[in-house]
Amino acid sequence: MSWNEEAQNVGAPDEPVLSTVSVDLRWDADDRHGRLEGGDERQGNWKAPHAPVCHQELLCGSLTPSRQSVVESDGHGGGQQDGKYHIVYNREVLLVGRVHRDRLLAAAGEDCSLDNYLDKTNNAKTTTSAGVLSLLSLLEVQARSRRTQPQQQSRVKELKAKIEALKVQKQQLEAEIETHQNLQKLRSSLDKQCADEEDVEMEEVSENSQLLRLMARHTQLKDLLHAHHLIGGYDVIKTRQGKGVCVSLATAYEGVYLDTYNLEIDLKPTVKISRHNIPPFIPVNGLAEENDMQVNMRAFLDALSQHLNAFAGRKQQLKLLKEQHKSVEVMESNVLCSILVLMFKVPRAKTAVLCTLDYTDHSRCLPTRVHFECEDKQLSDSDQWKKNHSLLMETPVHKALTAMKNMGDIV
Amino acid sequence: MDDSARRLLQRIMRRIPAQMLKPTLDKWGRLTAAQRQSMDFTESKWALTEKLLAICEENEMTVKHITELEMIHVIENPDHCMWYALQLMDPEEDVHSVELTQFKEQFKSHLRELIRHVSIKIKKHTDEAVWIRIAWGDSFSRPNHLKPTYVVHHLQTPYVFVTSLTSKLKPLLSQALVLSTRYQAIKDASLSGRKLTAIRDLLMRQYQQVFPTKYPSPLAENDQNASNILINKEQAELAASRHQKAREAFGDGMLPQLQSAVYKLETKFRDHTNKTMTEREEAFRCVVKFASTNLLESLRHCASSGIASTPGTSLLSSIPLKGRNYFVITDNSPGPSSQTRQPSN
Repeated sequence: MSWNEEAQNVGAPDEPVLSTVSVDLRWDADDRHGRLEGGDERQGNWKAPHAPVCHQELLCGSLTPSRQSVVESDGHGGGQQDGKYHIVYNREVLLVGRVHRDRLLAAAGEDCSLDNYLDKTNNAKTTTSAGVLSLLSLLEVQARSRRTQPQQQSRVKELKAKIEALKVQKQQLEAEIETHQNLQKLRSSLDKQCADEEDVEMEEVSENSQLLRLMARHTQLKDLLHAHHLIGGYDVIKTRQGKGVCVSLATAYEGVYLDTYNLEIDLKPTVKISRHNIPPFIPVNGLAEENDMQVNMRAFLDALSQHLNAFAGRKQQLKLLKEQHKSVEVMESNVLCSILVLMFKVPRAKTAVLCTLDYTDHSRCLPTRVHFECEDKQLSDSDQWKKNHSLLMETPVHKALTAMKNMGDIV
Repeated sequence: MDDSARRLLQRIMRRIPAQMLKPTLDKWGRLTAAQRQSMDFTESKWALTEKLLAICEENEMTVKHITELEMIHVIENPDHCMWYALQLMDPEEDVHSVELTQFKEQFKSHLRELIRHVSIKIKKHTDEAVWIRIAWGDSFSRPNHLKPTYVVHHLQTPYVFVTSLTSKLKPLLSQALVLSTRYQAIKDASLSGRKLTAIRDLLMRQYQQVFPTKYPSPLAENDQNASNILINKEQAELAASRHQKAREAFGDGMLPQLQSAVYKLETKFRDHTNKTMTEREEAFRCVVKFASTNLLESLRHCASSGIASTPGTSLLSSIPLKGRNYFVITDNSPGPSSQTRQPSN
């Protein structure tokens, strides 16, 4: 019978498999005991501490008698060991193939007692339930590899080829690291240059250095954009395969993020706004014309961001005012939050004061004009209310009202 | 109380649904506590109408008071009539400083200059909308309160929404609006619908639009919650990208409820199999109308379920993009062109 057929037999599924076979595949015809302790330096992988690991791998690696996997798992051992086995098995090993049985008997002719083995290595941990089939297949492979020396050669060739491939990869990675380092140097010089506003020194104008310079600039811009996004400015991404951009403008007031507005702008064939979700009372087209969006996109975006942030700020002030000061009646407001008329109640005088706040500069959160109206003329001319006037001009309205309440000017 | 007032009250009572009757009357606030208590809301509407008529006679209410009641009802339920959107053009310098009292005075004075017998009532709603009720008369007759026009406008925005306006009266209203809002012209925005909130949200961009972004929201989580996680869908990626494109074109979440979209085609007939029609020189006129209870939702579903290929045709996605639902398509411009049209009465 050839080895192949035997392999099939071993793998036949209807053959009984026993558990708890502990195998240590080091076959030392000469010294059956000594290899387990200490081990031989020449075959480093046969040292006692490695044994259980190897063992485990060998047994787990092959429940089916596929030669490939078995060779791999005992790859270390198979190629390099010079054919020494040490087999120890339970008394209950069942031999299934005639040939295998003969081999096992031949191999196991000498003294191989389980107790001996266990005394020396305490290897009970490594017994697995892989069964006798795996054991037999392993044996088969071992024997075969012992025989066929050329397999070692091919294995060596394989490893050499692998070494070459890894060397090439290492070279590639080294080149990448070098480029990256050059890029970092250029970046730092660019950043310094931007800070100092000096001219660029042109070293060699080789293609490589120009490309590196461009790449450095690209990374610098990307980082700038990311930083801008983090501080709550606007963020830009490319859409439609580079033919357009989408700008997201975030708004915030007093450290709280409010709505985000988006603009989709076409870049080709002409620069124009294709869609946006900005409410109609913010004059987007007007700002685009004013700041000449075609030429100076950044100025336009800055102006728009300013308007939106101011609007969000005023809206938030109104909301906080309504929440915190329920005693103050809001007589009039509008969608743009550019006008606010409030009714105050003065505690002692029992009169009401009508306060008008005009926010005519739509890019600011603070009013441009504050006007008080009261039946009692003296009240609005008093020093106290003059102070309130300047308070309302300079602080956000909800805070100003809190201050006025604390001073007792209004209820 | 004269005859017209009585008829008006009867008409209003017919319109208000039974369950809304009590809250509307309470909001009106013109009945005394005793009178309110005497109204038994379990009776039939006809009986209640008679009761209310009697009470109004008692209080000597005029048409003016009764129109208040109608206005309250219409502000609460604006979805009974067809609304048309108009757009104000070419703002002047001081357009942003128009405030409510100024607008009210100017509008009333301008409209009264143009037509003598007209009854105007202006009210500001809590959501910053200015509601105007106009009853038109002419040089010879009193204002007709049975056919009022309602106008809704948000100050500082260029949009005005009107109902039931005849073509004869439209120029008068337009002129008054233009002069009082400090714009220079007004045109038809080609958007109409039954639900005021829907057309307003569409124009003011108050629905959730989706834009491409570097930091996508956790959409995948929503989808996973919906379907069974044990089922691994074959085309999950394709479905997700279709879904995303559909949402980018039409919007996310609840969409404004438009009822119809009309495309008027004035293009040449093009069909290779039909020579006689293709040879004609003049344009082939035809009108295509899409109707649905919620048109934008159904269009979005078409795109996301794969019935229509994405990216969808720009004709359909122009509806939310441009905020209009009447388009005239001619051969010269491949996309929808903006044309004016007269609102049908």
